[in-house]
Amino acid sequence: MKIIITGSGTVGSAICHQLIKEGHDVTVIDSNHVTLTEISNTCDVTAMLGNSADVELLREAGAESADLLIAVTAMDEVNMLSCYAARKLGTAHTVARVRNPEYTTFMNLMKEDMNLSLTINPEYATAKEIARILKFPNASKVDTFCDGRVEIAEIKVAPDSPLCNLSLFDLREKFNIKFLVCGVRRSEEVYIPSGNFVIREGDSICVTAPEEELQKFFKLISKNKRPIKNILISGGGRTTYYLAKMLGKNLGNTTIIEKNLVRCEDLSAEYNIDVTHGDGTSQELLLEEGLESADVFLALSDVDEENAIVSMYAKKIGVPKIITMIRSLPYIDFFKDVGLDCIVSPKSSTVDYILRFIRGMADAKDSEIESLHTMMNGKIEALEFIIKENIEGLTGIPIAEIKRIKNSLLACIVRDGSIIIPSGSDTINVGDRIIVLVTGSIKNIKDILD
Amino acid sequence: MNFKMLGKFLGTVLLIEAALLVFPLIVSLIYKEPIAPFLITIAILLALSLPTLLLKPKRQRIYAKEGFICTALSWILLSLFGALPFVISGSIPNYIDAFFETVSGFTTTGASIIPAGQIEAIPKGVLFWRSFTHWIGGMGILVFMLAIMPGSDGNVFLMRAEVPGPQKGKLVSKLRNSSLILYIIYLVLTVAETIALLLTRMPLYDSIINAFGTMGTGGFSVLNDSIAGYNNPAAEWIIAIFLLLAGVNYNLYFFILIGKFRDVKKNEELKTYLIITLVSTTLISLNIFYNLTEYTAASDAVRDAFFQVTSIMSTAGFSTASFDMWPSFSQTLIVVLMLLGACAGSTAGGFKISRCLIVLKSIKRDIRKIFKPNSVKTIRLDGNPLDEDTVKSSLSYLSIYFVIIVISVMVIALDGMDIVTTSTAVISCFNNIGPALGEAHASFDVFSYFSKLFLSFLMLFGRLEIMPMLVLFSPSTWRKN
Repeated sequence: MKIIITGSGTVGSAICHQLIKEGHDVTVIDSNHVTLTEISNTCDVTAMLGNSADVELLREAGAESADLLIAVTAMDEVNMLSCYAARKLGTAHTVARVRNPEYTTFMNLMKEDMNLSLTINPEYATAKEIARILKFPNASKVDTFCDGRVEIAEIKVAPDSPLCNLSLFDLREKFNIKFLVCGVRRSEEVYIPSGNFVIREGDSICVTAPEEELQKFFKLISKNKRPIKNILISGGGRTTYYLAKMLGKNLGNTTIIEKNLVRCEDLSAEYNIDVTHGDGTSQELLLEEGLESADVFLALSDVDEENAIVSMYAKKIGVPKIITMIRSLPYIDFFKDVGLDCIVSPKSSTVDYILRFIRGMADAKDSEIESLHTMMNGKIEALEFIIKENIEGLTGIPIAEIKRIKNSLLACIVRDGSIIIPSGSDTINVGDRIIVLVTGSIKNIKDILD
Repeated sequence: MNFKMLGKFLGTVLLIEAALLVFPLIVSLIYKEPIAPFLITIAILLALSLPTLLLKPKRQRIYAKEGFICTALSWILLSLFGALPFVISGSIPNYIDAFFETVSGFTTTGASIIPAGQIEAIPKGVLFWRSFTHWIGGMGILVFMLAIMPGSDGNVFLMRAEVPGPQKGKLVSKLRNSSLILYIIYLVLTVAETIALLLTRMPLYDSIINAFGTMGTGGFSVLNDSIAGYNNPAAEWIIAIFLLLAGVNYNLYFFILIGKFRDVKKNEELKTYLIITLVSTTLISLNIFYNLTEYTAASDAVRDAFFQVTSIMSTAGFSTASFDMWPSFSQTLIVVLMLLGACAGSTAGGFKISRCLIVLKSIKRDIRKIFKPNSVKTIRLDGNPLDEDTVKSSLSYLSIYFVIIVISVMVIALDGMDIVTTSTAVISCFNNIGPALGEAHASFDVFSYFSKLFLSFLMLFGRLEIMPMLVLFSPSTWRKN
């Protein structure tokens, strides 16, 4: 597809790298000479310098015949303008990043007139991700498939976990829970494990199961069996604002610490929660607000370093679940290495969300992917397909007999609304939705056959 | 340094060379000449390149430094192995001579060490290979590789290192498609010239060889007297016109194809190129017509002058007249044109007109600064503002360019030739032109083996625009950090 990306910042370049990997034709527009040079040096793209809402420039970039324009500059207004201009010029689809909550209603109002295919609010997406994690607090990341019916959770195996030193085969026998381990990260390597793979402490694993089974699974592995009641949030920015809205009645006993008085007042006026005006990096204040008795600690301030440091402190104090927000993508790996295992990032949420949308679009054109999620820092892709016709070598035969490419896995079958975690004797039928995990990129379900 | 990736890459380059050697092999078969020289070379190339395909590099990325080194080493290796058919066939028995000839071919210099009058004795297959190297080297072997190899995207640095000019742009967003478009334009122009030459009753074999020499702006010919040997004014006009075309930035052809005439019209480099050609042709025609008795008709003088100007500016180096016999003014003008070269993004060598324009504009700005110290002035090219990095790199290129010429003249002077021969030989090799003035006008055989080797590397410096070779030879590249 022909894609124009406006904005070559972190999000723009992350999207760009992935799209190039998938073989799209990409043009990047930005007014910043430095980031633009960087991107044209590392990526096979056309780079154009200038204002991305400049109609002449958009025309030169090929907006008249482009399939998609992704507007991810730092400014909401410019993003909306470039999308509007591109639509007028003839671009088929447009995606805009709009983060100011005050524009939300405006966007809803204008979505039709401006013909936007997708708007993304990074903080909202992050809040949504946090809400999902809170549902399974032992997981560091949770994704849903098939309209929310199947969940894939990423967890880190603790030293005393009952999962340690057992092969996947034994695990299923021992616990009698229908779950599937679909990815393991050990140090830097990522594996899609087979039945005799043995889990060790320190591994990060991805687990999938129907919701009830997953609940059972987490109950089994969690030390702390009581439900989440006490939530302590440091930082009352936009993410917190959206999160509070999502949690709604499930807020429990939530306390928010925020430096900025105006923000405090806003939050307090909007939601029925405890808001403390103070410095969220102060040890004393954190302890005073009940860090030691918190079930979950969320570090959601605007400064990455502060978030990382208070999260480490909370970890030392012994808070069972800590979620850290890190905005800068390159930091994420560093902080994972020093033990912060549950990191959310508005930028990576944005990238994931946009990529998912593009794949969906590309599918309509030349592949059949229904939805796509990345796990383990994008090293594993989980793809959802609908089987529309009989495919030789795939449908109608036991799964054990399907000759799959290396490092791939059939994670799940959804048939008539019920979820099957497949074993070797199950078969795939026409009409099924299936979820496939691969370490590379595939576009078509047939690509999985060896 | 990612040695595995480097090995895999160079292996692929050699594999492509093996494939390209099939063409002269076929020519040899047609003319019933021995095919052993090509078969042996192909066998050696395959033996060396096939094992590298098994290499599995951990890291796929190529960075700027590695890109430069890949480019420089590819060209050296191509020439080292490309020289084998000459040696094996006995056409050029000495390996250093053969290496010089091959480098001269790939870099589209066209300087030959084959002694005057002995070219026609060489087998047709070998001569075909000699000229075919021009065609391959003209647009660039790595560009070719990018065009035909799938999945080679991301290696932006490779193309940067090989495509000449101060600004490197892609035609379309995908590198691979850009390379493909360039090669298609190149191929179409070559075929067009071959057909045009055929219409002047030039034999097919000669038409193809001369088309290679023209479009690659190389200048190897199959006759002892170069193009003059055909005594065919129509062919001379056709070659001169195609030489002029070969010196134009290929991106402009693409713009014409997609109907962006405005971009072509506002291209300053093209305008300057055409004006320089016109003015030089006029001056030289007048100069030789009034000073040399052999020109009785003005049309002959104009034709020879036009041919020589296009041939030197496009850095091909064909000749229809012995310009070493021309008056001093014409000779000097020709040397100036040698230094200048043609447009960036063409197959020509030299300093490039666009760089020259940038340098001149920068000088103009500096002069302005003297009497208006606070003035701010952006340098524009084709109406678009240029960033300061491009201006700076053009200026530093100019400095290195002259430093290299000075050093090289000193080194070649050790051979004891007169200063005209020495300096024009250096200028001619460094700018990938071919013929020199003085004793080396007909053949570079007069130089010592050391000088030939030195000039070979000088040609590579010129073709790759200095930087890749400098990176390759700078110790800090190979130091482990």
